[in-house]
Amino acid sequence: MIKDMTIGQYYEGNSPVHRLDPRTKLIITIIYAILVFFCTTLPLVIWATVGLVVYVLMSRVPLRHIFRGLKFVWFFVIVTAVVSLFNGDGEVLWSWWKLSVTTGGLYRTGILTMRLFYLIVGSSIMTYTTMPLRLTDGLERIFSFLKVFRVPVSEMAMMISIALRFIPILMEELDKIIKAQTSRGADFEAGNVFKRIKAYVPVLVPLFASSIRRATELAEAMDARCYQGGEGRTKLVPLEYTYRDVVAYGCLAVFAVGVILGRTVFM
Amino acid sequence: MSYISTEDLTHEFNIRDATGNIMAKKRACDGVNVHVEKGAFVAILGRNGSGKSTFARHLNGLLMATEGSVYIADEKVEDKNLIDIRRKLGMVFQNPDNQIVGNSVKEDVAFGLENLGLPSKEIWARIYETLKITGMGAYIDRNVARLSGGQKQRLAITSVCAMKPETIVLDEATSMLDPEASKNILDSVLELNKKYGITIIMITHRIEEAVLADYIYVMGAGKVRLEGVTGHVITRVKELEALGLEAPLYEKIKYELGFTGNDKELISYIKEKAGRSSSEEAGSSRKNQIEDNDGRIVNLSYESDVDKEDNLISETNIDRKNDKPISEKDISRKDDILIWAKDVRYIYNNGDSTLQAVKGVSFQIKKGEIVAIAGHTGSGKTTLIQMFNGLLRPTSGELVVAGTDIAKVKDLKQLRKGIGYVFQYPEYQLFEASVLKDVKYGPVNFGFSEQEADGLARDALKLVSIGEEMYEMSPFDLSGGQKKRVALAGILAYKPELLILDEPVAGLDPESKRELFALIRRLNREEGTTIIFVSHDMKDVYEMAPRTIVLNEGEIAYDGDTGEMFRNDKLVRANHLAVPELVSFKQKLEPEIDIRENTIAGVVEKLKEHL
Repeated sequence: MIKDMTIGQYYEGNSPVHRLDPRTKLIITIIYAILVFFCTTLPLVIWATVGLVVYVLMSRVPLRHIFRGLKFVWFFVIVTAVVSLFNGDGEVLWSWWKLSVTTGGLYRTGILTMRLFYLIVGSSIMTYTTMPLRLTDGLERIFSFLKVFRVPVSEMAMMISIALRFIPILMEELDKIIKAQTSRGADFEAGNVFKRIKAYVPVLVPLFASSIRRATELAEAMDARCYQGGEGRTKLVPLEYTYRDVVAYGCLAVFAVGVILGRTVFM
Repeated sequence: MSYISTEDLTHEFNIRDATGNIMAKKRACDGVNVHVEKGAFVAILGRNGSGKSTFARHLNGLLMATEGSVYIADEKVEDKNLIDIRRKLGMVFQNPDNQIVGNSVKEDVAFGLENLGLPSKEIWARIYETLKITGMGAYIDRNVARLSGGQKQRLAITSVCAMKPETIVLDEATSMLDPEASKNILDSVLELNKKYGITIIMITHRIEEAVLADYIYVMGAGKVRLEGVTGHVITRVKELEALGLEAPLYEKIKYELGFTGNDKELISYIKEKAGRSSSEEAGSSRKNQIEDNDGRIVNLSYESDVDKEDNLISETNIDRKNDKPISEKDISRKDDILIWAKDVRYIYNNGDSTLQAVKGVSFQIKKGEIVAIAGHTGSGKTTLIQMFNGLLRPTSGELVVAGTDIAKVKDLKQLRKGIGYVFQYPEYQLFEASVLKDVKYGPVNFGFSEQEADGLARDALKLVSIGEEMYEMSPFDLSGGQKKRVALAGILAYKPELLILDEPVAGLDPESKRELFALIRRLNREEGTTIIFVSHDMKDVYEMAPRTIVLNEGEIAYDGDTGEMFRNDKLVRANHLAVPELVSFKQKLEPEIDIRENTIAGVVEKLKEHL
C-alpha cells in the first residue's frame, strides 16, 4: 500500500557510510558530481568507477536495492543515450535515412551514459544511508552562515523534515479522496485535456483543505510542546566530525587528485 | 486556590460572512469555572461543539480568554510565561498524525526536549526512561509511518511525558482509535495518574472514558451544566441525555426501573423479582435449554426462533454449502440477491512485496439486508467493501454486484450510480463552494439534468435535516456533524439501492450517532436500501445489524446472526470482538429471564413487563 513507500528510500544499516556525518556525505556527493563531470575519457571513467565501487561497498547497500530505486531514472538515461548515439564522428557503423551510428558516437555515448549513471547512484547512496532528518540537519549546518543574512535556515530545515513526514500521509489521503469522488461518479479519464484537469478539482480542493487543517493542528501541537523556532534548540544527535569523516575526506581528496592527474596525463 | 483553576473563562469567536465582515459573535466558552487539584483525574464531558476543546486550549495558552482567567500553580496564564506553563502542562490531541513531528519514534520524543534546550545526553536518557514507562521501548528506531494509530497516539503521550509535565490534558485523544487501542491508551493514562501522580484532564464525549475520572464536569453550549464526583454524575441519566450524551448502561436500567443499589444488586433484584412474578414463563423456556459439556446453558428456544425469523440468513448459508457456481443467468433469476461473491481474492502489489488482503471469500447479500462487517484492524474489511463498487477489482474470483461482474465490466459508472459509498471522513469529498452544489455533484456526474439534480439534492438535504438556510453556505464552514450529514446527502441524492458505510459513526457523539442510525434504519425500512457497514464498535453492530460477517486475516471467520456471534466465546476472543455490555447484561439474567431485544430501550421495556 502507498503508506509503505518511504521518501528518500532510507536503507536501514550501520555501515561506515551510514555513520558518517551528513555534512560529509553532502560534500562527497557534490564534489563527486562535479568530478564525474570532468571524467570524459575512458581511463577517467574507470577511475570514477573505482571511486563509486568503494563508496557503494562501504555503504553496504545491496546493488539490488540501488537498482530498484533507479526505476524512474532509467527512462531519462536511455533518452539521453539515444540522442547522443546519433551524434558523432568517426567510422560509420550503421546508418538509416539521415541517422548514423559512428564509432565516435558509440564511444561518447558509452562514457556519457556511465557518467550520468554514476552521478545518480552516487547521490542515491547519500539518501540511502542518511535519515531525512539527519540530511536536513546537515543542510541546516552547511547553510547556517546564511543566518547572518536573516535567512531562517533552521526553520526551513524544520519545514523540509515536516514535509518529508507528511508526504506519505498526504499520498494516502489523495488515494482515499480519489476513491470517494470516483464513488460519486467522477471520471478522470474522459474528455479532452481541459476536461481532465477540471475533473481533478474535486480531488485537489479536499486535499488542499486537509493539508491546511493538518498544518493548523500540527502548529498547535508544536506550540504545545514549546517550539519557538531554531533559537536555543538543541539536537538529539548533534553533528560532530569523527575520525571516520577525516578518513572519508581523505579518500575524497585522493579521488580528486586522481581525476586532476588523469585530466593532465590523458588529455 | 486549586492547582488549576479557571475563573469565568469566556471565549468569543467572530462569525464572518463570505466577504469577511463580522456578522455575529459566538461564545464557545461562556463563564466556565473549573477547579482541579494536584494529582487528580478530571474528565470534561460534552458533545461535539459543546466548547470543551476550546476550553482545553486555554489551559496552555493556545487560546487566550476573551474574559476571565486561568491559573496554573498560582501562576496566571499569560503571553509572557507560556513556555513555563507549557512545560508544566502537556497536551495530547485528537489526530495522531497531526501531532507527531519526528520521522522516527526517538526523533519525535526528542522534539520537545530539543525545544527546551536540553543537552543531547539528557535527551537520550529521557527517551529511554519514558519509552520504558509507556511500553514503547521496542519501537525506539521505528519509522512513524509504520506505526498503527494506537501506537502513534501512545507515542504522542510518550513525547509529552518526556517533558516531565505535572499535568497532561487529553483532548479527545482516543476518538480516532479502535476500541482495543483506546483501552490500551486509557490504561496507560490511568497508570500515569495513579503511579506517577500526574494530574489528568481528559476531554471526551464518551461516558465509558469519563467514568475513569474521579470528578466530571459536563459541558453544554459553552457552559458547565453538571459537575460532581463520578459516581454522582453518571446517575443523572436524563440530564446527560438532554446534553446529547449517554449514561452508562447499568445506570440507565437502574433509572428506568427506579432501582437504587449497585450493579450486582441490580442483577439479583431483577432475577429474584422476575423469577417470582413469571415463574411459569421462565419454566417453559427452561424446558428448551440443555447444558453443554462445560455446564454452560445452551438456549435452544433462542436458536430455533432465530432460524425461523431469519430464514434469509440460513438460506444464504445453504447456498454457500452447495458451493455451486451460479451462472449469470441464474443470478438474473435470483433477483433478490444483490451481492454474490465466490472465492474473491485481492492482492496488493507494491512492486517488491505483495499482500493478500482478502483470501478467497464467498458469501451472498440479499436486497434489503443490513449487514455489519467486523474484524480487527488489517483484517481486510476496507479492501472487501471497496470491491463492491469497483474501487478495487478482485484479483481473482467472481464478484457480481447488482448484476454487474466487477472483474469483467469495464465501465463501472452505471454500477456506481446504484451504490453509495460513504467514507469515514466527510472531508474526503466536500469541495464545492456551496452545500447545495456539493450535493448536486454526484447526480450531475451520473447524468441527471441540472434541474433534476437540484431537486434530488434538496430532497437529500431534507432527509439529513440540513435546513435551507445552509444551502448556500460553504461546506467548509459547517460543524463536524453537519459536514458528515452533507457528505451523506451527497451520496443519498442519487438514490443508491446499496449503501456502504465505512465506520459511519466513529468520532460522533451519542446524540449525532442516534440520529444517523435512525436515518439509516429509515432508509432501509422505507426505501428498501441495502446497508453494509464496517464498524469497530460492537455495540453498534449489535444494535444495527441482524447479520454480521467477521473477517480475520482476509478470511471469513463468521457469517451469520449477530446475537449468536456474541455467544460464541471462542470466536469472540479469536477476533478481538468486544462483547457489548448489553449482551453480557442479558447473559447475566439468564436463564431466569431471556430477552431477545437488542436495544437498551427494548430491554428496559421487557424488564418492566417482567417485574
